Amino acid sequence: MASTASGATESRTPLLSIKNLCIRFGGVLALDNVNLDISPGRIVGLIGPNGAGKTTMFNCISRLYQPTSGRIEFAGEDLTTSTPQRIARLGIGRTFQNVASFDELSVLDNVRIGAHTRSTGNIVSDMLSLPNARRQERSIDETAYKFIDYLGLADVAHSTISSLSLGTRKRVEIARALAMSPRLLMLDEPAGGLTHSEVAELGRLFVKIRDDWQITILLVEHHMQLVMSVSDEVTVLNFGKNLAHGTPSQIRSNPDVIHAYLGRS
Amino acid sequence: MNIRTLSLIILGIALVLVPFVLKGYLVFQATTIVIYAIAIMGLNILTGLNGQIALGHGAFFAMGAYLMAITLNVWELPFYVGFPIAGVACFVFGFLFGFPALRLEGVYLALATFTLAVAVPPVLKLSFLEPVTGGVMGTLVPAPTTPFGLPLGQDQWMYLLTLLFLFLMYGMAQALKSSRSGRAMMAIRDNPIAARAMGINVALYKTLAFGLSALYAGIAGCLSALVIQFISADSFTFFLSVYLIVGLVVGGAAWFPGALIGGAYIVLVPNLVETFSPPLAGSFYGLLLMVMMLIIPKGASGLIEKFFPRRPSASDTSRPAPREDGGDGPVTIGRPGR
Ligand SMILES: Nc1ncnc2c1ncn2[C@@H]1O[C@H](COP(=O)(O)OP(=O)(O)OP(=O)(O)O)[C@@H](O)[C@H]1O
Ligand SMILES: [Mg+2]
Repeated sequence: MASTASGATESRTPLLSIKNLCIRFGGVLALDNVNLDISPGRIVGLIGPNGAGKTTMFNCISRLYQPTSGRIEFAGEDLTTSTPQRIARLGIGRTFQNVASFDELSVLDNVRIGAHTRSTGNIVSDMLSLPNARRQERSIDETAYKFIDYLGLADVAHSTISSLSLGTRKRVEIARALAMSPRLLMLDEPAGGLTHSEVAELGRLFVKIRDDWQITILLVEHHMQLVMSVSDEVTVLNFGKNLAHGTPSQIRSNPDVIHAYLGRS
Repeated sequence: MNIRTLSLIILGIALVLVPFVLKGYLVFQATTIVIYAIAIMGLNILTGLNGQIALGHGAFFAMGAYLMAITLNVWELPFYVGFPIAGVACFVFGFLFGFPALRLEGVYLALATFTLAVAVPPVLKLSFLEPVTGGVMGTLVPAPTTPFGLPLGQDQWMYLLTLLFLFLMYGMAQALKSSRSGRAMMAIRDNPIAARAMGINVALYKTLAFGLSALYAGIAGCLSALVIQFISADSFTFFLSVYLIVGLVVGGAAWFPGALIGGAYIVLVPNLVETFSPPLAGSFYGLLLMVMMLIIPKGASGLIEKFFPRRPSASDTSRPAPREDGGDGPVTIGRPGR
């Protein structure tokens, strides 16, 4: 990745643009005037010490939290007043830091639920199994199996989530997010709790997802080696503020970043 | 065909044969069981699929029964018109009631709906409603005659009509469960936050589940009016709501065939304990329920699951087992508990 971050953002209009985002929880300003532009087709790493506000930023983008002020634009549309449904429909998929699966359901059903917004229907035709409902169901299945195969989950497609290992659950979450056919995929600590070889495999998977489906990726991760190896650019948050932004090598040698990490741990 | 499907088919055939094998009062009892099973299936949708707990469905049952009586007595329409009227009315009422319910969870929701069950019987007794409800005295409901000159006794015909509704509504509930809407409901039950992030309209599906469960209770109420041929406010005390929940728990929350077991429990067990010791019947009933909950906390569905597992419990062997670190805690969207 030769181009620097600034070069890339100038050349294309950003897919996601965050401007002066603030969110306050009681006395805590969890995000304090955060800015971030993400160009289409990039893998952007979002790092920062514990409590820096990374997950909070995801939650603001997917509208699970209401920002106190600031603007979030996605593909030119202002998201500040959109509902989570609208966000999903626009094409922002995500995974959760503490795996948030539908535990009583099968892997297949989890991934099918990912395709919910990519399909339409109504409860009456669903309950009467009308032809349009059955047609819809076939197309949902097609999508679901595509991503189940893509993530190598075919063997466990019919297993209940609660019977699976953490690593497998995390892949199910990624498959579920892909079934939303997102343009932006937000991954919150996907490597947390995985083994060494699983992490390496995950890195290759992210690049492959980007290349195969032209999906832009925003990656929150504490596993530095993973972030630095797959990201085109990296942005650093500290105490809810932007600390630095640049290529992985720029970030690695940035004195502020080094200080933020060493100063705390 | 697997053993589950086969058992269901055999069960279905056995149910059809019931009124030709049993006689008189037993057919009436069987009909009552099926009626309760229909109402309980509604709760299967609300609680089993969607994870909401409501204690007030006796009110929708009453509403269905009264609407059937009004259709026959006041509007003088044929009985089969009563079903769509009551079904739609209960659905709409339940759907609307689902909105305030959105703000409440668990016990609070149960309590709020309980007020519905308590409030309805006195309203039905109000004197100015007497022309339509029959007031305190209640009202007679003319039983529909056997159609097409079929050689069936009145009780047989009523049983088969009720069973037809059970089959239809079971089919619809089952179709719902494996559909896009049903999955949305189950997603909300399992993880409302993730469901929202998947773009599921949580408010819509919660209120729909509420409306559907009210519809099921309403249809059951219609049938009960036709079968008993008399309704009064005292047939729908809040105990009815409690019994329906008992039936739900006994049958298992998310397993539709369990509704029949739940229905059988609430019809047969009170009689059974009554024969032991009439004054202590209530205590026996409670005790039995407690013992059952200890032995099979997940109701009949838990037993079935144990003896006929749905799939060979697939062990996840595709990858080496990773370290588990905190992936099992309650799901939070924010910080992990580190
Ligand atoms: N719902 C909430 N209510 C109150 N405070 C919150 C809430 N969510 C986040 N915070 C606060 O916001 C700050 C940022 O938290 P956040 O979870 O975004 O950090 P993070 O960068 O994801 O950290 P980690 O790497 O540990 O996951 C913390 O101080 C946290 O306590
Ligand atoms: Mg976090």
